Parts: sequence; C-alpha cells; structure tokens
Amino acid sequence: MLQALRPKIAVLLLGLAACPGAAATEAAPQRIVSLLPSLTEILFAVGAGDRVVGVTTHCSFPPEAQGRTVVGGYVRESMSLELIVGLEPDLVLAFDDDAQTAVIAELRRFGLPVEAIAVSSVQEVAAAIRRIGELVGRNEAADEVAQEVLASIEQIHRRIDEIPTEKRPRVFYAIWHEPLMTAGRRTFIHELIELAGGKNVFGDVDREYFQVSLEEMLARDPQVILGADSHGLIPSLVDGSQPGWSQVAAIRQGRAFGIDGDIVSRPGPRLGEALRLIADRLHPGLFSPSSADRFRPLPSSDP
Amino acid sequence: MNRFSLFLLAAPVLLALLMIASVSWGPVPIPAEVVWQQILSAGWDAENGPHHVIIWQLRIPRILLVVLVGATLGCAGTVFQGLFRNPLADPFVIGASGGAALGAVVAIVLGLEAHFSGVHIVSWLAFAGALSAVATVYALGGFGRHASKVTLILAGAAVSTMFGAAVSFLMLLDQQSLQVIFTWLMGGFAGRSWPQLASSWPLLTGGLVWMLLCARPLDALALGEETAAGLGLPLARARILIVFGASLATAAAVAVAGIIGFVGLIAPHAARLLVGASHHRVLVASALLGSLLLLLADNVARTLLAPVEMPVGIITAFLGGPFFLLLLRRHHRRVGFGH
Repeated sequence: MLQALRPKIAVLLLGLAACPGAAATEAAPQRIVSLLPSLTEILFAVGAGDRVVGVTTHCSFPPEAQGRTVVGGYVRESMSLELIVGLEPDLVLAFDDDAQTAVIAELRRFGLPVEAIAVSSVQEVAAAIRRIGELVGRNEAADEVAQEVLASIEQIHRRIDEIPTEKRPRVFYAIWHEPLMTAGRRTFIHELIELAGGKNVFGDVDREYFQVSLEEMLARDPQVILGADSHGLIPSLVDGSQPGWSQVAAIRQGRAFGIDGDIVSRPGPRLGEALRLIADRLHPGLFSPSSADRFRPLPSSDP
Repeated sequence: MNRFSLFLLAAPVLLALLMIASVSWGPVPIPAEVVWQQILSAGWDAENGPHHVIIWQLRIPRILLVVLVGATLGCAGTVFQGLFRNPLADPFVIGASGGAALGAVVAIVLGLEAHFSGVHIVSWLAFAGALSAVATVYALGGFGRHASKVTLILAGAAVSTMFGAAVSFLMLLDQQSLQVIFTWLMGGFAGRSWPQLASSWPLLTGGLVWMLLCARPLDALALGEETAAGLGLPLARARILIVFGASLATAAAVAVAGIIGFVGLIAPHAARLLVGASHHRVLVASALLGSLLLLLADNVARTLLAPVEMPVGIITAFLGGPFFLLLLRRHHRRVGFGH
C-alpha cells in the first residue's frame, strides 16, 4: 500500500506539479511529437499538452497546439523528417495506418521511439486514449477522458436506441462539393451518423471517401444533408443557388446544415461532442437544453 | 584549353561546392562548424545525436540521390533528343516518365515485394512501363527525316495522358495507397535516405553508363539515316540499344523520385550551348548540368515552404515549362508546324 503511494507522496513533497494533478512518472517522455491531429487532441486532453513540441500543419485543436513547431503534413513526402529529428523527441506518436508506414520506418531507423496508434474508428478511441495515457505517464487522467468519451457515447446511444429505424433520417454527408464527394462505410463520419441515429445514404458502399454523381445522390433522396463548415456547399444549398438540389427532401424541409468538419473527422477526445453535434441535427429536440447540461462542457471548438 | 576541358574542370568543382553547401542548408539550422565536424567525421562519429542523423541519414543520402537522378534525367534528355532528332524531347515529354509511373504504381497497388538482381520489382515494372511508352510513341510519332517534331510531342502527350488516366484509375481502386502514390507522383526526394539510395543506385548508374556508351550511335543518327547507313552503321540495333538505355535510366529515376519534368530538356540544351554538339561531350555535360539543376531545385523544394516539403517536380516545371514553350516557338518559326 505504502509502496504504491510513495511516488504520489514524492510528487506532493517536491511540489513540482506545474498543473494540477500532474503525476510525472520517472521515464515519462518530455518532448513529444504528434503526427496526427487526433493524437494531438488526445495528448492535450490527458494533460500532456505542455510536453508536445511538434505537431502537423493540420493540428488546429486545441488552439495552443498551433504554437508548437510544425513538422509538415501527413505522409513522408510532405513532412520534414529533419525537423522531427531536430526536435530531439523522446516520443513520436504516429498513426497506425498505411499512409504513415514509411515515415514510421524512417524515424525508427534513426533510433527515435515511435509509437503507432490505431485511431481510425469509434471503437478505437478509448483504447487509444488509454494507451497514450500510459505512454506519457498520465494513466489516471487518460482513464477519466476515456470514461467521459464512453459515457457520452452511451448517453446518446440510449436515447437513439429508442428511435425506430423508419424514424431515422437518411443522411448525405458532403465531404466536398466540386466534385461532389461523400463518405462510405469505411469512414469515421459514417460511424458517427449511424450512432447518432441516421442512415448514411451511401453506407452501402464499402469504401472510404469517393466521388458521386448528383443524380445518384438525388435518387437516394437524403432527408438531412451535412457538410463541413469550411466549404461553400451548405450555404449555397440553403440559399438555393445550387441547381438540381431543390427536389431533395432535405432541401425542401430546410435541413441542410454545416458542421465543424474538424470535430467530426477526428476520432479523439471530442468524439462525444461530434456525436452530439450530429445527433442534434438529425433529431432536433431529442436532446433538449436541459439534457445538454448533463454533458461535460468541452472546450469550444471556435478558433 | 578548349571549352570542353574547361567545362570538365569547372562543372564538377561547382557541383562539389553546391553539394557541400546543400549539406548545410535545411529547415533545421546547423552551425557551419558542426556541419564540417560531421562531414569530416565521415559518419564514423559514434555519437548518434540529432545533428548526426540529420546530416548523415537525411541530407547527405538525399543530396547523393538528387545528384544521381539529376545526372540520369539530364543524360536521358540528351539521348531522347538525339534518338528522335527532336530538340523538344525529354523523358517527361516523350511519355517515358508517365509509362514508368504506371509500371511503378501497378507494383505498389498490387503490393508486390520482390527483388530481381538486387533491384526492387517496382523499378522493373517501371522499366517495362517506360519501355512500352517509348515504343508506342516511337510507333506513333516515328523519327528520322520525315517525322514531324510536333507529331512526336503530340504522341508523347497522348501516351502520357493515357498512362496518367490508368494511374488515376488504379489509385481509385486502391484508396489505401492513394495519398502515398499521389505525393510520390508529384516527384520529390522528401524523406529519401540510404535505403532508397541503396535500392536505386545500381539501375541509375547502370542506365547512366549505358547512355554514355551511346555517344557514337547517337552521333551517327545525327548525321541522318542515309549517311549513317552509308557508313555501314546498323541503325535498327543502335536504336534499340539507345531506347533500352534511356528507358532504363528514366524508370530508375521515376521509381525512386516520382515524375520530375524538364530537367532532361534544359540540361541538354544548356550543355550544347556550352560544349558543342558532339554527343560524348553533350552526354557528359548534360549529366553534370542535370545534377546541378536538380540539386538547386531540390534545395528550393526543401526550404521554401519549410516545414512543408514541396515536390521538386513543381519547381522544375516552373523552370522548364516556359523554356519548353520558348523552344517550341523557335522551332515552330524555323521549320513550320507539322514539318
């Protein structure tokens, strides 16, 4: 018992805790480079943000992350390996995905400690958060974040579960408008839509992101259209300046909405928020303001 | 001392200086004395610090690879121009690069992992692709006295477009590799290190030497078919040997660095201006100039938008595109469209 307490006592005695609850393990990495926006979000959420020294051009959240050294884009060809090495990281978090196999192999060859984290689906989020907690010596904080994420999924799931299939709206998610691109079954956004009580109209396609024809979209007559705020489709749909869309149920009923594209594309600590964002649009009123209080307020995503 | 000897003296010195300067340039600032220390330690420094890794694992292998690819592309340009007797030819314009890219993408999408004679199958399929592209253009555009300079370019463009469409189609089928292929296709040396140099130098050097040995047949072709035949030169065999060498070299370059256009266009023209028209001179000079040019372009690519790496193909296209149009205009005036 006493042995288990000793590290905590030591921390208390030293009074080194820079931020409340910081429990630095002896070997905890102090210079972390993250190669994926969702990994960056997890690092900050578990309280290791002050130890993050390098991020990618896409790491926009939390805002503090943008102050870190940017090491480049997403794949080996768009990253500066030299900058990563130059930061002298004692931990590099990478995405366990084909896109980063090359960069992971190179960095390991240089002797850098690289951890590849699988974080592409809803299922993997909690495990990824806990794994990162372990790696950076923030197990308890990570466990808390993971619990919160799972709880918010559970909360939404309980409400959605009562909704019969026929009352679940058909949803079209517009990744891009020119050309018109959407998300298939193998994407995170597809999972979110289904969990939030919607039916992805292109959920039958066993792919990631792909281009679709306007006519195929019309034939599937979505009742809700969602798209990232960052591109111009949704406003032009709402003001009716997009030809050909007027007969779609979603447009006739005024149910085309822009949502924060970053939140809904990153499997990370804001998963609950992403789910809420979508569920609110699919089932207005189901999550009344009073019930919203039960959700822990997460940091605002506004820049 | 003639111009060629002067060039042979000056260009390697210039290249060596630029290579050393390139080692000290990069997004991570490293003091000059550390750079020298690292270079002089010849990589034997046991300490594996970040500067050591940056210089010996990232900058030096990359610079060597750039120099080798630049020489290969410059030389291939000279060979293609001589083969087709067309000043507008280069591996990119002719469609050889596009063909090589298709071959390489097929290997990547199929996930082929095999080595033949120590060379990765990606390079061999790239070679097959380049060879078939050149053969197609050869058949369509032809060469010799009656071939039109513009027809050849059009044939090259058509073949490039077809092969490019096939690449896009394969990328659609295999989304897993999409991002990887896409960035590789744009051409560049980001993240290339010893493993890539180790797997590509045999074909690159092999192609380079092969092309340098083509000087004589190329000189013969330059005399015109009748004259060459009159001198008793076996034209058909010479052409096949030349096509093989240039395709091999192009494929090796594309397999390791993607599609990099116009180096093979600029280098030979600059070389002819500097050392005259004899092929053994132009080949050597265009190899050296290709290295210099590509190394300069790559230095811009890795520092201009740092930390984001730029595909070096963008920079060579910015330099080479206008140059190509200028050449096209000049020849258009001189010989008229379609002749």
